[in-house]
Formats: sequence, C-alpha cells, structure tokens
Amino acid sequence: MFTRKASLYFVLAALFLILGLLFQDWQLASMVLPIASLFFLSNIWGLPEKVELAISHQIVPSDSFGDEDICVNIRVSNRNSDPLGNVEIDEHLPSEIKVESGASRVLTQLGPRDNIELALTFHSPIRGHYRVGPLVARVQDPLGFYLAENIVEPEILSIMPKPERIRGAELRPRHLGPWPGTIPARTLGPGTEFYSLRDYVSGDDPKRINWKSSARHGRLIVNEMEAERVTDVMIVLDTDVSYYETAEAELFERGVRAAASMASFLLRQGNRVGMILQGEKRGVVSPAFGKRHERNILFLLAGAKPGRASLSTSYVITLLTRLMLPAKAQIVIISPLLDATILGGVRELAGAGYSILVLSPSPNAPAIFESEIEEIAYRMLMLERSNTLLALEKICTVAQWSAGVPLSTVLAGVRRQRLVIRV
Amino acid sequence: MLVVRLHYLVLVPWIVLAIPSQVLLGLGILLVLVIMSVGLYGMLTKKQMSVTLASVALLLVLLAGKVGSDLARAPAPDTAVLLVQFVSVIFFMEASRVVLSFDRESSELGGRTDEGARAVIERSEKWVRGQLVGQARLSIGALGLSLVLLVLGGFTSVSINQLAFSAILVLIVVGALLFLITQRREPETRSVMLP
Repeated sequence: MFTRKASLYFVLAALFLILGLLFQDWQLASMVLPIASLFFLSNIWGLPEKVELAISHQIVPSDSFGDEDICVNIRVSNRNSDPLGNVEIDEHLPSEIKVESGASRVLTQLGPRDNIELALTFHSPIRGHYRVGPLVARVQDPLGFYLAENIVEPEILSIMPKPERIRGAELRPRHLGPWPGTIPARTLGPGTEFYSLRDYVSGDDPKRINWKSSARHGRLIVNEMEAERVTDVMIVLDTDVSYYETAEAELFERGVRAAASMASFLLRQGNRVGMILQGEKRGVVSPAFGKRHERNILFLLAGAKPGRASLSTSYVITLLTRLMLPAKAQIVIISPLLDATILGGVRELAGAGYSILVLSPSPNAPAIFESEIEEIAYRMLMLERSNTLLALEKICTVAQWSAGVPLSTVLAGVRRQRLVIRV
Repeated sequence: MLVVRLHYLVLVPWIVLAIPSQVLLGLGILLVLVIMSVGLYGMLTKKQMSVTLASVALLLVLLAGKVGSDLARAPAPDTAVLLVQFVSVIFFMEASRVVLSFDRESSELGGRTDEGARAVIERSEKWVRGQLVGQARLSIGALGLSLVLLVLGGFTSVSINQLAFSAILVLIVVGALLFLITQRREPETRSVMLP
C-alpha cells in the first residue's frame, strides 16, 4: 500500500503543476517530473510487489514467579526471492519492562528467503499481567512511499505471586469430602490421630494393638484412628485496601502473598480450593483440585490490583460463596478489615454454618503524620478496625498478621473454635 | 553519514542565496541563518521535528523563490540547476530521517555491549548504509529520468498558453501520477499505532 507520505508528495506535485500553469511557467511545471520519477522508480525498484513475511514471537517462560529472566524470541522470515532493504521490527513492550539484552526495535535488511532470529531479555517485572506485543514488521521502499505490514497479536506474560511454604492452620469445617485428606472428620477411619479403643477382632493389624490398655483389661484392645478427609475451601481476598499511599502497596501485596500461599498449601493437601477477588476489579475461580488449578488461582492473583469496591464486600462474598461452595464448608477471608461493612457478610455466612477463618494483615503505622488531623483519622481508623476484629472474634476464627512475622507462625497459632456447651 | 548531518551548511546557502535578493526582500542571509540553525540543531540534538521543519522550509523557499522570480520578472534560473536543488532537498530530507532513526536506535541501546545489542547495532549499521545508498540511487535515477524527459519535451514545441491544451495536460499528468503511485499497490489501510 502507499503511505501518507506518498499522498503528500502527490499534493506537492499537484501544487507545482497548478502554480506552473497559473504563472505559465514551464520550469515550475517541470518540477513534477522528479516527483513522478521518484514514484516510478520507488515502485519498480524500491519494494517488491508481493511481500511475504512470516513473523512470530514467543515469551519464555510465559508465566513466572518473578525470580528469573524472561526472554522474547522473535523470528522474521522473508519468503520471497526478492531482497528487502528496509525492514523495521518493532516489539511493543510495557513501560515497566526494561530490556537488558537485545532491543525491542530493530532496523534491518533481509536477503532473499532469509530469516533472522532476535532475542531480547529482561528481568522479571513485578507481579502482574503484561501485554508483550503487538509485534509489527514493516517493510518499506527507501523513500517510504510504499509499505507492507505484518502484525502478530500480543501475548500475555504473567508474573504470579510466589506461594510461601507454610504450615497450616487448624481448619475444622463441618463439611468434608469423601476423599482422604488432612482434616479430622470426627469419625472412624484411616488417619494419624487417636480417636478411640475397641476390642481386637480377627484380621486387625497387630501394629494397632494398644498393649498397655490390653494389659489393663486382660484382653486385646486396638487403637482406632480419626478419619482425615479433604474439604472445600473458598479463599476471599479483599482488594479494597484504601490506606496511606506508601503503606497501601505493602499491605495489599502481603494479602496477595497470603492468598497465594494459602491456596497452594490447601491444594497440596488435596482440598478443593476456589478464589474470590473482591475490590474494584473482581475475579472468581470456582473450587477445584490439582496443580493446573493452582496455576489458575495464581494467574488470577497475578492480575489483582487494589481499588475501591463498587459492590459491597458483604454482598459479594455471601452471594458467591453460597453459589459455589457446599453448605458448612470452609471460608478463608484475607482482609485488612479497613472497611467494617464486611462484618455483616461474615455474620450471615457464620449463621449459615460455614467455618470461617479471617486472616487480617495488620496495617503499619505511618512513620510520621503530616498533621494532627491525619493522626486523629489514623487512630479512628484503627479503633474502628479493633471493633471489627472484636466483633469477628465472637463469630469466627481471626488471625492478625503483623508485617515481618512469617505467615506460618501466624497460622500455627490458629486454633479451631471449640464448641462451648452452656448449661 | 557526516555529510547528511552537515548538509544544511552547504545546501541552505546554495539554494537561498541563488534566489534574487529582491524576491526575499533582502532577508536572504537571515533566512539562511534561521533554516541552517534549525536544521543543524535538529541533526545535532536528534530532533526529527526540527529537521523536517528545516527541510520543508527549504522546499518552500525554493518554491516561493521561483514564484517570486516570476512575479518580479527576475531572470529565471537554469532548469537543470533547479531540478538538482529540488532533488537534493528531497534526498537530504529523507536521508536525515534515516540517520535520525539510526541515532534513535543507537541511543535506545544506551551504550550496552551485550551480544544482543551488538548484533542489533551491526544490523542497523548495515541498514543505514543500504538505505542511504538506495535513496541516493533513487534520487540520481529520478534526476536523470527528469532531465531526459525534459530534453525529450524540449523537442516537441507546445504552448501551455492554450487553455484546452493546458487542461488536458493537467489531467494527463495527474492521471500519470496517480497511476505511478497506485500501480501494483493496494490503497493504504491504517497503519498500526503502537500504544
């Protein structure tokens, strides 16, 4: 196709012609000749009539935990037998990416049936989804009158949050799945925890004989174990984190890291795990098993961004968990609890029989306050948060997570709520 | 590339000072200084806008000088010289674009010496040489073709004072230009604008 520049030169030629005729000056009119000649020669010599370029790009790896270098391999082939003198290859990269090796824009020549392979490498950017591309290859004649363009759609590079290796909290939901897992099922079955004693019957494993008890009763007694099963867990990450600008990102990232670690840990135990992102940008992954599902959850978390929720958190979590989770299953809510309206939703879910663990990353106090009003506002916010925490502790398990404390330490301290029989 | 970077030093005085001074109202020297400064500033600071501005200004001065000479009934310059000046302006304008693209490419690499960057620089150096040679070849070819056509046109004695003939001539030339532009080519579709 011809370019805008060719159109401008055409206008210039027309201008010369008109002026030449207007002033009856053949010298002016003759200036059309070089422009016409340039068009003619560019058309004949400048660029082949058919340009067949094959272009591709590949991101290696296309998803990462942010601890490795990312490479984009670009391949451009000239499938024609004509050489291409002016080829521009442009890979558009997001501004967050700084190229360490190679270049995102290359000007080159391509011989007949020639191909070039380019590689550009950059350090993994921070967590998020990045559009790498579009990859554009432009072929032009030397004067830029004619243009052939090939485009390859962008690819997505996902930098996912890296799950920490954690030890689990003591979760005891009343809903359990049929498969063996790690959650005590309050029933007899294969497991690791002692449950009760019974008389030995023929065929019992001799290893299970409780010799002390047998000696005491004068007959063979065997230990019985508590069955351990899997459960369904929905992790809710509250992304509505509006706090001091400097501390907000840290608080939010701590929440994302906790969600990734919890999801990974619970999936490794064999549970069905789902994820809800609630904030300005919402996202849902239905509960499922397995490694691939873990990737799906981490992919969702990679795109999480903090922002003010347009829909009430209470409304969203009650609606979605009831839709996607069986009754009396486990819910893990990760929220800094800066918005007290979440309390209503938790109360409703607890009333419906769900087991709820609230993991609350504690906000760091700002180093200095810019004004007295700001300090008062901060204190009021913290007071309100304390009230929410107190109210939540009455209806579910709550764990506060201060910055600098390992998540495992916080979760190890979580004990299930004991049912209190009031007389 | 040095010749392209410094071409304003020669091209601007040659074109502007060739125009009769009464046409430029005695501002020839000032024009030379202004266009030369803008062009050189663009080339040295790698600002495409300044370079294009200076080249377009030079083109307009060339056109205005010719029209002014007609109006002032000043002696007409030699046609061949006029054509050479015109083609030179176009060539150097396009060559500057190429050199500045190369400069931009180099500066984006920011003095990196890794293998990938070295390969890109080598490719760019080959590309810039190929582009300048290609443009020079096209410009010289166009100039030669124009002069040949001019000489051939000189053998035929036609008057452009005849209105009907002039109109037909305009139509033929515009038609020929359109044919030259669009022959073997598809019309332009919107080029990809990178975000």
